[in-house]
Amino acid sequence: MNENSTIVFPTTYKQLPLISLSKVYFPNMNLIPVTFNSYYNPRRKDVANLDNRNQLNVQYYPESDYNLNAKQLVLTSGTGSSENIKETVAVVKKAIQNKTSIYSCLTAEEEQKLFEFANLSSIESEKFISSAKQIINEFFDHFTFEEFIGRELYRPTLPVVAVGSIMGFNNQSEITAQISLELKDHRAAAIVNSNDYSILNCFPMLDVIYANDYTVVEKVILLNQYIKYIVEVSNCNVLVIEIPGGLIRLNNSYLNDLGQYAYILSQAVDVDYFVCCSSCNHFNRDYYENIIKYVSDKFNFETTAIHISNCFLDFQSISSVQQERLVFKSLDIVYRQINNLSDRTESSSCSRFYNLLDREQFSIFLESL
Amino acid sequence: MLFHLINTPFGAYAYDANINCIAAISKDISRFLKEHDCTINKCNVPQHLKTEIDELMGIGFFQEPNTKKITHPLTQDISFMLERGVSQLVLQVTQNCNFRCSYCAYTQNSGNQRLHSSQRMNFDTAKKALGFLHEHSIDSPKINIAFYGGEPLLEFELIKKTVYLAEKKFSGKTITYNITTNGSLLTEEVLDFFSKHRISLMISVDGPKEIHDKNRKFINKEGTFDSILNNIRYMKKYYPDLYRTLTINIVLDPSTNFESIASLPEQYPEFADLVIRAGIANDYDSAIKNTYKEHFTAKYFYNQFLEYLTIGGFIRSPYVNNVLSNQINSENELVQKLFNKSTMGVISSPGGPCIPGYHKFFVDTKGRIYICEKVCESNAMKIGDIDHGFDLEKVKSLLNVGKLTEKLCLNCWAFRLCSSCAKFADGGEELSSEKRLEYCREAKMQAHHRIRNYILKNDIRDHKYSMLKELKL
Repeated sequence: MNENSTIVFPTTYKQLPLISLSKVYFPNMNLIPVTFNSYYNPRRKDVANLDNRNQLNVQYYPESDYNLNAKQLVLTSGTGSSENIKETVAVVKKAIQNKTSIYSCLTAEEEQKLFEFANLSSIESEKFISSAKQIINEFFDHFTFEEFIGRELYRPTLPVVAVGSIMGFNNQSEITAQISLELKDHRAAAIVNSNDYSILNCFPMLDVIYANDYTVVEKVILLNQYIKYIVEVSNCNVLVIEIPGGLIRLNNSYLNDLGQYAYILSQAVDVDYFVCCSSCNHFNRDYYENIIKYVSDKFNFETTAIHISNCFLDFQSISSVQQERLVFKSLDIVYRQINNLSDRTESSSCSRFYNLLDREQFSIFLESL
Repeated sequence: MLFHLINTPFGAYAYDANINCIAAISKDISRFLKEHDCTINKCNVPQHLKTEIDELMGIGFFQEPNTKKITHPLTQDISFMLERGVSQLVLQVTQNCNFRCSYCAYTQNSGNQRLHSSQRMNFDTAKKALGFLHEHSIDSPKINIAFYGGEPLLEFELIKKTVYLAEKKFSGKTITYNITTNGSLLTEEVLDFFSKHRISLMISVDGPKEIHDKNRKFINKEGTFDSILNNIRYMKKYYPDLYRTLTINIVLDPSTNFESIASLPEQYPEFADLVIRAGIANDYDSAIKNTYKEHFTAKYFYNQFLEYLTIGGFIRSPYVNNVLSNQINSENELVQKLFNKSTMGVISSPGGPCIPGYHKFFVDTKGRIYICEKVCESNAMKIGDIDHGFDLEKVKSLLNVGKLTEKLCLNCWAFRLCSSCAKFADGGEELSSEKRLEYCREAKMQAHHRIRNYILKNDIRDHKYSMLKELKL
């Protein structure tokens, strides 16, 4: 590590894309991944180990073992839970002591909890910079429901790409950011469902869509106006939006948000291209054909591509303990699955299967747009 | 044919494994099928039954088995699941125990299981086991470490060192601990440590003093009840948070009086608010088989029935004690899930086996890895060791234990509801089809009861109001 580096803490599989994307699109960023001890394997020091992707040639470090000699600390959204707050506080205190600047990707609630637990003075807390929170605050400075009365929903004239996942958790944030970064010459902007991506200049998803104090109609209006705001401030020509949560319920006990956020987004904006992310669970083509039909009927999304991630969802655990359980497969298994699903002799949906984290397959996908 | 006939107080039913469906049938059809040994062909069906048989066939009953080959659906995924997704480690910290319970498989057994010994785990082995868990759990957000014996508290110092190391190693993840103990060694120091590190306890108490002391004795043959009760009282007074998480495990001895056992929470208020799990003593590995007293069996099933009436909303809980509630509720949930499944695929696997190593793995004092703490520590159940890792071929063969009896299983109505896990195919050195078949009758009986209880629960709901009138409850 050197004085110009930026530490990303904690880096789990959820933050790994920041390292991967920064390497391609912001090579001077010099992000150093630091993780909790539990995610560090001394035998596999490449950060790619976190989700079993191909080697990135970036080493990662355990929290117990790092030296915080860096220009900046990025405190990511994985910090907030009560299980790891002790370790986070130790890292934050060390950063303050070393006069390292702190860029916070935490929500206001998570930040408050951290400040209280760490017993930080107001001067110390003010050192936390957060562009994600700032954008949302600025939007609310400009928006009131009263002003909206009598107006129509905003209909953007630029192409809108939406990226959603059947079950949740399948690289959709990374793909959203990746499409926008790849299309930066076309002035693309991305709205990603994680504040972490603000370090890659992506905009955060409007968090009030999860709040209970707004009706569905109000959420649609808010999201619609937020999209308008982002288009205006970014002056973008293409907008890429991640759909939070899953598209369908997993079963009768694990409801997976019932696809409500996909519905809200479909009412807030017309989607031109839809990328559907899937786990790698041996689903057959009929299953995907049904999903394509479902999202078309329910949300009016026309599926442009299906991304098969290397994430295997353990349905047995989901059913029995009501808890997401993911295991990351090696990519060769994913490629085999894609080959099995793709039948090039047939048309339409058959050429839609990709692993979009693969540069070559991503280029083919972009050309198809 | 993959169907099975069941009768309840309310009517006759047929279950078909191919479509995983239960249908109410007429008594005539039930009688006809029974007489013809469940064989259906167009010629032997009498005219007056044809319409009903055709209706059942229309929804998929009485077809040839869909499944042609047994392969567990996770066979091709198990290698990376074990590489990255394991989450629970059970550590056998000692093979020693200060009790000599008469039904304990370590006190006496039929040959495959070890006996009590002075072997204990050293810290180096515990450390390696934690390292092994750490290396194989990167994708698991939650980690559970359980301490098992013998009596694990004989090795309290080792437990303490292991917990300290685990907390360092697994920082950033939710980590929980469990200990299954006989409850006799709960000193202030132990309780203090458990309370600080949020270690959940399960203590075995088999009933009130006279029942408990019949089987659960110290090495010197003295009863253990008073010692345990004192410790639980102390815990309740000085460590109320720890006390609230305590689970009581009752091993039901069917040669005793069920009502006496069930009176435990009434006789001793210390047990009244605790979670109680109860199950009949497992005598599978035991040299001494259970003796069932008629009175016990009658009261046991009567209380089960009352539980089902409670679930159906027919009677309120004051009519039943809570000794069987957890057992019935978890069985009920399991059965509900079993009936959620759809049509059987061409390649499938019978119910029963868990995914060896993935949900939990058991490490003995020497560092050998077994499927879980409930199996014999035999070569057949061993799935590796902490120095060389999981033996994948062994794991796959245990996962596909149904292949041992493939032909019979493919034609069995209990295929999906089977409870025959790898434990019941333990031939000592290797897996044994003979052993598996020995358990087959018991597994079928359990499957029959599962279907019967499922129907009963739904029947109770349907008949709630008419029965209310009749029974005047």
